[in-house]
Amino acid sequence: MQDIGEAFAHDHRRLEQALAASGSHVQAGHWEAAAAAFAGFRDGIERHMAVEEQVLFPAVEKGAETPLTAILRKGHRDLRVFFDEIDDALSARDAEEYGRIAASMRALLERHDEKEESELYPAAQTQLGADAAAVAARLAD
Amino acid sequence: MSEYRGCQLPEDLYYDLDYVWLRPGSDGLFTIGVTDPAQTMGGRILSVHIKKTGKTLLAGRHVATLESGKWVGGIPVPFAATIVERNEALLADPHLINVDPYGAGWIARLRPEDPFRRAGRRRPHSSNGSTATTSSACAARIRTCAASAGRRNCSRSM
Repeated sequence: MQDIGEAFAHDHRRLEQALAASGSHVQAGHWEAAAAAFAGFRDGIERHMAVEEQVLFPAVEKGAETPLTAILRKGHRDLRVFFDEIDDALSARDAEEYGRIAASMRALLERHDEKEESELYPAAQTQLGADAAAVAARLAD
Repeated sequence: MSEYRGCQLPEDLYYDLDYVWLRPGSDGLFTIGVTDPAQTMGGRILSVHIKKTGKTLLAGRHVATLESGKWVGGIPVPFAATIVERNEALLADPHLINVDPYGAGWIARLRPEDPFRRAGRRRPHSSNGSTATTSSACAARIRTCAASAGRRNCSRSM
């Protein structure tokens, strides 16, 4: 049985690989493959963020937004803007723009994921208790 | 100038969610930057990327990306606009945002399509002169700032 931290951290690593695959396709000039890889990444991370927003954040907030969840929500908003910008760069087949946005997005993800893994998931695990395994399983739904 | 726990919030600016201030100019352009609470919470800014002059942005898209030692984030424009000028000095010295967020730390000047089309944004002073509607978004940021005060005083990081 996986706990929240294990399941979500594993998903972070899986998503990093999916994003890297998209970047590799861009570098090779394989734009359709890059777009397909990025679409897969985006589907996966949207599911990941949805579970966090719908279950984990409320579990640790207990009715009131905290400094931690405020900054994590801001991160999710920024990421979604970056996703749109990456889609634009892929449509325009602009490797330079893709690279610049992807670099900013990776830097954001690195700090964001670290904060979630060190602060959010342990707190959510404590709050969710016996329900944690079912929440972790939602990542695979 | 309003102040809360050391965070300054000038009353002559417009505020939007995501830590943004805007200053209207007599030429119809808007200068955009980040608020004092935002720079305080972000910490020392280490790098800034500002999109190129002439670029047209949809509402919500990032005009710039900031990076500090502990935070990376975008600065969204609250309305569709074209970038007419960017702060080149800020590219050379990103710390200007921490030192003078409402002055030398400005990010870009924007030509808006319609700055008040998007719902939810408030002028700093309503048409009847009241300040009752001033910057509800900023108030939300200040609540966050206040909530974090136990961990870090909300003072300007110099």
